[in-house]
Amino acid sequence: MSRSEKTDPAPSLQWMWANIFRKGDADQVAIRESIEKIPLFQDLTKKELRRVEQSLYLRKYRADSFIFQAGEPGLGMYIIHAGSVWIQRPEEAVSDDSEPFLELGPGDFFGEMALFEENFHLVSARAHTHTALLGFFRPDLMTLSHYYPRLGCKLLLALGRVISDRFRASLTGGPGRA
Amino acid sequence: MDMENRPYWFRRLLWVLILLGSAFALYIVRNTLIPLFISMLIAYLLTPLADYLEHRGFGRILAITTTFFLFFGLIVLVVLYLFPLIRDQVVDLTTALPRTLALLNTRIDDLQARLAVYWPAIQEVDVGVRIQKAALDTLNALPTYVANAFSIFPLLILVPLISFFFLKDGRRIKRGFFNSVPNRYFETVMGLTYEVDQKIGNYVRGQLLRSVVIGFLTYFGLKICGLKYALLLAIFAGVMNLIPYAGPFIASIPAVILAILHQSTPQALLPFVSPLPLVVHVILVYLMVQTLDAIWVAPYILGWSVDIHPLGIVLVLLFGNQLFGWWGIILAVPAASIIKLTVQAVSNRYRFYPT
Repeated sequence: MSRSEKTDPAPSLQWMWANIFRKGDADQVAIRESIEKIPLFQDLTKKELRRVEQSLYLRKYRADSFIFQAGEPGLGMYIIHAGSVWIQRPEEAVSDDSEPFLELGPGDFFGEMALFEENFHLVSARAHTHTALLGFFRPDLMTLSHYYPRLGCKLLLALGRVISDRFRASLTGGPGRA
Repeated sequence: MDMENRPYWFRRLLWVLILLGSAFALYIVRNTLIPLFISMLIAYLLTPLADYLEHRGFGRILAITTTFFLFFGLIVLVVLYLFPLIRDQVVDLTTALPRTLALLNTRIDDLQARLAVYWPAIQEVDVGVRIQKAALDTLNALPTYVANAFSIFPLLILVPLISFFFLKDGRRIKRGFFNSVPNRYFETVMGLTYEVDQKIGNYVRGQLLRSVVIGFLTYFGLKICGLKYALLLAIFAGVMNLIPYAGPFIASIPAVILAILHQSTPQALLPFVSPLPLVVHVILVYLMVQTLDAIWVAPYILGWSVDIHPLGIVLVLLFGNQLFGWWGIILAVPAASIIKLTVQAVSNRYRFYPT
């Protein structure tokens, strides 16, 4: 997993400083805007959105660092808040310069299958640029659906829809997402 | 700066040093660990109720305060209610002791005389006097002993305080901790924390419920037998049940001795129905309680078990006693189970990793 820093340190430093002096509230507003646009959360009411938002984790990744690697146990999904992420099959991940299997941008999400089953990640996810992700994990999904069954139903239906869309797309050979 | 580039042995050594350092630091502050641990147990116990109330539409603070005052109010009520009873029983026991000991003495003399027919040397040993002396010494030392060993007063202030903050800020502490975990370990640490949290919560709630059930069963059993001091003995049984193997046995010893020495109280019904002596009834009660526990209470409440090898339990009890005294004995096995659960969860998760 050791990987030499490809980008020069200056932008990453700037990025870090910019984030250190950012107010928590600004983050909160940005997160709200970010998740309101995501199809997964379309059916939720304002109140439900706020509850989901409270169980999200904002994580920041430097360019070229792994978010997870194939073979690691998966715990949940990530929504891209800013930046871009490369999804790579394990055989592609061996060399750095290989074209990604998929390139995802803000508003996209990945890893949603891990919300349902405790299993290995089949692919690796790597931050292509400096990236901020919103993590949504199985324990929080469980807690949410335990205390708010209605919200849980909506989330699970939406997730099922996404997964069946992707499955259909993979059968017909079309692109995996809208 | 980058740990990845250091040699393997260096990282290993660093981890070992960190672990040793933390162990040593914990050893130095070990007296503070008891209230901390008890507060943690209470927080685990109360979190589900607080969460439930919160999701029923109470605010977070209101939910916690309600839970908190319900719990400690209940404890205060129980103590206020039980205290006179316990005090009466203790006073009764203390005043009755010389008579009890004298009775024991005559029984022993009797036995000695009978045994002397086969083994004359036994006449020389002054068993009765020795027992009497030992019992009186123990009894005289009891108040200071209890006060010192349990040093209850700092706990009375610290435990509610710490558990309140655990309950109130536990989630925020956890979130802050997650946010500080490096990306690489984030998912692992989070999954682990959740798993361990669930298991410890179930364990703590299960054990407490089990102790309460055992206490009640013992109380009613002894009441039916008509043994005095049923309340004291039942509380003792409930607490002792936290210690596997030896606990139930230790719990039954004073009851059996009392049953040998005392006739049953006249209002008890059972002695008129059954011709067996009181001590047989008492032993039967303890056996039945243990059987019920084994076939019904433990599997139903705990569901899964933390198996610690009997030898491990003995060692853990000895360590606990050495480090923390009486509290150590009572809390050693729960603490060890929690540690074992954690280690199990960690190693399970690490088995997933290809590296």
